[in-house]
Amino acid sequence: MIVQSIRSARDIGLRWLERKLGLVTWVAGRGSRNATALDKACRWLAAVLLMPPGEDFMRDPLIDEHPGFDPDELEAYSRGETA
Amino acid sequence: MPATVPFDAEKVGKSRRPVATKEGATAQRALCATCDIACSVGTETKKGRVVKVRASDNPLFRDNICMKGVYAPRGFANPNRLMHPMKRVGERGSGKFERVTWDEAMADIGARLKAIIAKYGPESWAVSTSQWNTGTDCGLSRRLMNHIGSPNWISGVALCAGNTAAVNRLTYGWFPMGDFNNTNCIVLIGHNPTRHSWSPIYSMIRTRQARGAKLIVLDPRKSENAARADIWLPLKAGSDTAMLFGWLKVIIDEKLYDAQFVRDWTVGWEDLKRRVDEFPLSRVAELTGCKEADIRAAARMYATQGPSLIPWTPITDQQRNSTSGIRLQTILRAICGNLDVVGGETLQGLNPDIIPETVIEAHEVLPEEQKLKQLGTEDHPVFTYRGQDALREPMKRVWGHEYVNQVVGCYMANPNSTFKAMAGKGPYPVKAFVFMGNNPLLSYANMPLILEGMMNQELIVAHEQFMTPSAQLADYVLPADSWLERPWMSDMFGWMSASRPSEKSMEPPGECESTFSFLKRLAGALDRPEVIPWESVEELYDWRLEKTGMSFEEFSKNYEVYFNKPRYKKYEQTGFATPSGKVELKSSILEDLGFDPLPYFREDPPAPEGFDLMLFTGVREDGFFQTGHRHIAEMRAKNPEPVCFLSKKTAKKQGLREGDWVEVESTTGTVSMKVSVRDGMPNGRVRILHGWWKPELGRGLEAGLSGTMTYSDAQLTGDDPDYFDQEQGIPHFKGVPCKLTKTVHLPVATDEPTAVRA
Ligand code: SF4
Repeated sequence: MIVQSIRSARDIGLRWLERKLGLVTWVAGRGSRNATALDKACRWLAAVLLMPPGEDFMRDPLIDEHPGFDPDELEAYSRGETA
Repeated sequence: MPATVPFDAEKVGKSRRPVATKEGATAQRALCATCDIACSVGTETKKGRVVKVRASDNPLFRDNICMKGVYAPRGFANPNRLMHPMKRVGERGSGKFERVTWDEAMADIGARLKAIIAKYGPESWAVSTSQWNTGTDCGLSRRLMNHIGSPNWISGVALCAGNTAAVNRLTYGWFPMGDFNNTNCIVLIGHNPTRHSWSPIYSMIRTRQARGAKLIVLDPRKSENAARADIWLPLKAGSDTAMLFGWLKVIIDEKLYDAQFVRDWTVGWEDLKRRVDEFPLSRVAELTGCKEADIRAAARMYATQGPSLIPWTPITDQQRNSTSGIRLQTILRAICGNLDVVGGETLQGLNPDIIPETVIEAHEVLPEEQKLKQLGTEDHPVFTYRGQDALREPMKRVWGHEYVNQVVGCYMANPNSTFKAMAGKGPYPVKAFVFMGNNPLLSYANMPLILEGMMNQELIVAHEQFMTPSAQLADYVLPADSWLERPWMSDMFGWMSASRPSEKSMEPPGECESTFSFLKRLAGALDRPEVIPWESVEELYDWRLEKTGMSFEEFSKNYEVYFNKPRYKKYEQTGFATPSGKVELKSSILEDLGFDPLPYFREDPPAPEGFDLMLFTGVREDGFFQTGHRHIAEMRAKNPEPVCFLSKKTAKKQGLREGDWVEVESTTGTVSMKVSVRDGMPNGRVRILHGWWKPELGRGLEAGLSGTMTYSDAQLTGDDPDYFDQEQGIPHFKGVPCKLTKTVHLPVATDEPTAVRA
């Protein structure tokens, strides 16, 4: 009996998740277009929805602050002229 | 493994063009192929060179990037990059080559390969590859081999995801992808995604955790994820199969399974229950070294806090109980109601709008008698044609194609059987070996056998970016492009129904050519140009996209991901793609192949005298992927030497300290490693890093193949039947007896042209 009620609660939870997924999909879709004011608002919302507030564990200066490379330096490097 | 994208293409896929952040640069959208997870990234190009790789602008793929992706432009600009076709001039293994033209190389390769096929049969030609390195293969290597008549295609996916796909299909006819974004409980079995290794999966796990999802980690060591888990089970290496039996015992005894699903959609329930009863928790605790209460708590959490996920793990792929371990995962997923539900394990099928790679592979043209010659067919058939044969009708019924090659791992030859045949110890000789974007000497177990096999070849061709240890043994080394230099369309190796474009960001340097181009040349050289009729890879993509009404150019301009709206519980309409149409808890296919149809557990054999430590291997550092990237100075600065990890207690007992050098010896070989003492390591265990060689060291066999003979872990694992999964024929990497001897690490002479410039 207890297990049955766990199961039906879980089914309700699954249906709720499916509906939530529909909403997130819509928001992310608008956000990914990034053209109108609504798109931009959705973009902001999608970022918040996808990343929990508080500690942003994906921040890493190695990635965030990497300036990229200089094409001339890469060219010289590829010819073995620089380290 | 591809990034997970469980969203609707119409709404999410279309996104704006990437915008350059560097002045004067143009921006492209691309998929990073430095590792196998294929992050959606942006590239920026200036003066004909990619000068920046950054995360995609799309909020869905925010931060899906790691340091390997960021440093890719420098890695591919390395002065030791192969730029021209090279022909061997000394003895095989001398490491001496001279420059030739593509036309000269291909004419000779074609003539020699045709002669070998005429003399020994088409099955004497084997190919080894790793698909993420060779994006524009698109199934063409299989296609060419199928038309020529050789079934002997092997890949590292035999030990990593491809074999998991094949075994999953025995239970429910598909290899599911976890819906990380919506799950409530994640189980990591030894797998340890971090910020710089499998970044998207790490991001999704942490995000879900922050929103209340539970995390259960099974890992002998206190990994980064174990430290953050709700329950950490520090099990003995290689005992996850026993652990999962324990979970099933709890779930069945306490009736925590989905009884309706079990009744309506499974076969073999009573047999399974009897087998599970052989594993009371007291026995499981003994086998795994974990407490009964913790095992019970984890099983309850998995079964009741769902929807739950057991994501793919390379750990279960690489051990003597692999088939049973993977099957137990599939059984847990099914009976706990996690199959094809939101937040669970989605069975996505192929995208009907885009011609999949599996169709390009043309498995139907390979004659049945050639399929039966596939190496490994007799003894270890699970991922060979024979092992998957009973799925042809169900695949057609449910997924629309008789052959569906998921993660390219479902119709492979067995690697070990192939190397035996190369060494003259198989049912027939293999005399020509072609490898593409793959370093076979270091990528499979039993390196001495692989070396023997390679030295016994009449023709070896490597298509590579760098002069790897394996390439040093080749007759021809042909220069390959990189993911920055080619257009790519990823269909996630048939694992998901999403497709994503990757634009070409720069021209290939020198005479580097794509895998597509190499295979097209090879088809021509074998007098079979009609097998690859497309003039360019873009033309091939246009053909694949015909149903969408878009060219590849339009597709890549408009879409970041092309994905149909997810549908769940599709099996209610179609049944499962198994012979019975149900989830086969007791596998009819394994039974017909002559194996135990139920999962089982083989305990460790007694260790040979003197080998009183246990090593586990197969893991690599964040800065490297598999055997690559040791040439990138910035990555090497983080991990300059191959390392073995020990606990404080074990180090003390062995008289070792941090930074000491040791010889690690197993019954198959010896390697040198630097000791690193770690708090999270279990006592009595040695963790070895995978895939080490040093590009700066001397080339050729005599010089040790750039450090391969000194450092490569492939020397420590063999194919002793006690350490071999029988159904698949894959080796045991997770608990091999070993011993340590303190040594002095002598500097090895460097080979000037390959020196890493720090
Ligand atoms: S995790 Fe890193 S190496 Fe792998 S695909 Fe993503 S950016 Fe590339």
